[in-house]
Amino acid sequence: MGIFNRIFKVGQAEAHAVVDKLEDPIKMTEQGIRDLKKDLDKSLQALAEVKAMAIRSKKDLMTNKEMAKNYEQKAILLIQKTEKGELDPAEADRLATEALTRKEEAVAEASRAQTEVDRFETNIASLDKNIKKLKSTIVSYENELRTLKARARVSSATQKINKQLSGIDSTGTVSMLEKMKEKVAQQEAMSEAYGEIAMDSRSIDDEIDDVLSENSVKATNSLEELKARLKQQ
Amino acid sequence: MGIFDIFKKKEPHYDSTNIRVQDLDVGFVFEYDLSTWEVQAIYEYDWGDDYFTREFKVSNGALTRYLAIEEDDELEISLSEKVKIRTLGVDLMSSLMERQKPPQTINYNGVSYLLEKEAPGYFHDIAKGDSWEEFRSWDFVDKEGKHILTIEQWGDKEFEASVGIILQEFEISNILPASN
Repeated sequence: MGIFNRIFKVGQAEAHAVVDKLEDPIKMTEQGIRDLKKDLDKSLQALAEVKAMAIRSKKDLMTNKEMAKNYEQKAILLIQKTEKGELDPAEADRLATEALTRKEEAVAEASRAQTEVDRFETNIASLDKNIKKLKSTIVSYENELRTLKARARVSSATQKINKQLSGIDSTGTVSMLEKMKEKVAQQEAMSEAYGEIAMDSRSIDDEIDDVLSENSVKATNSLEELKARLKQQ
Repeated sequence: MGIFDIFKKKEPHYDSTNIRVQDLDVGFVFEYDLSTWEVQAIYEYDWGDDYFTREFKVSNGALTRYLAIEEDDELEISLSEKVKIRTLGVDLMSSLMERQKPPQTINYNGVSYLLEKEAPGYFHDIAKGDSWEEFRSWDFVDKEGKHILTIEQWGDKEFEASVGIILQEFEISNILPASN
């Protein structure tokens, strides 16, 4: 391998290491769930649209069925009026034919609406199935992420506590206490040493002064008094 | 609008995996009583003291109903249909006009409704801009608290009535959003 290739490989490895550090698996999973939710939202909107169209088609179907029924009744009424002699037969036939033509138009419209309703129902069933699947996937991912987040928090806290208890952590309380103990012991040793040095450095004059000091004289006198009292007893 | 606003994507106001009744908007569809309903309009009611309620005009193609939502301490949902005020009592309208006071009890379709509250308010159709209309309403509820009846007065002589039922949130299902 040439030198440049090796340098490139080193650079590549370093770049990967940096990216690995930047990657937070929790954040990346959260982003993944957000993306899935966007897809779900689009599917839900599409389903809502199809359902709304199905509602309109059902309305069309119903209206046209009613209309067909109505025109048929009108045609019957026209024939009945002719039979009763209330209407000219030719005129009645013309109007009844017109009414029946409109009835047929309404029936055709109703049939078209029915076809649409059926088609929409099929679309709804298929979309609904996919949406349910996607929704359940998202919910399971969210639950899993929630559990993982909790586990990550627990393990991080446990790791911190264990690190402190084992004394590995230089900033931990145990380590701080040990350091403090060492410092106190050091200070005590130092003061003891200073004391010894002080004792060693006393001169004869110091000793004489000590003996002749007021307190010392008082103590000697008291001692003599005590001795005298004891003799009298 | 700033130049970067072009790239901002609108986040939906609902959770796609759990769309609730409170999230309903125009164009949303939902299932109720084995039928699919579409939200066609939203009305807002201002009862004073910053207290607002919402009502959705919904249709399943054959019927039109009004889904009211009230979020006080807990969520209250009702589904009503308009009825002619004369069907509630022959003298009701004249007595309301003369005395401005409704009876304590109204019997309708075998249900006995008791007067519960009277409240003045303002009505607003969200699609029609910011013009608010003043009105007064009288709410009646049956003893079991399942059926409701409302009489509204608009102006001096105009009255409207509706009867309905109280729903539980779970009765409304499969709520789907409208495309933006």
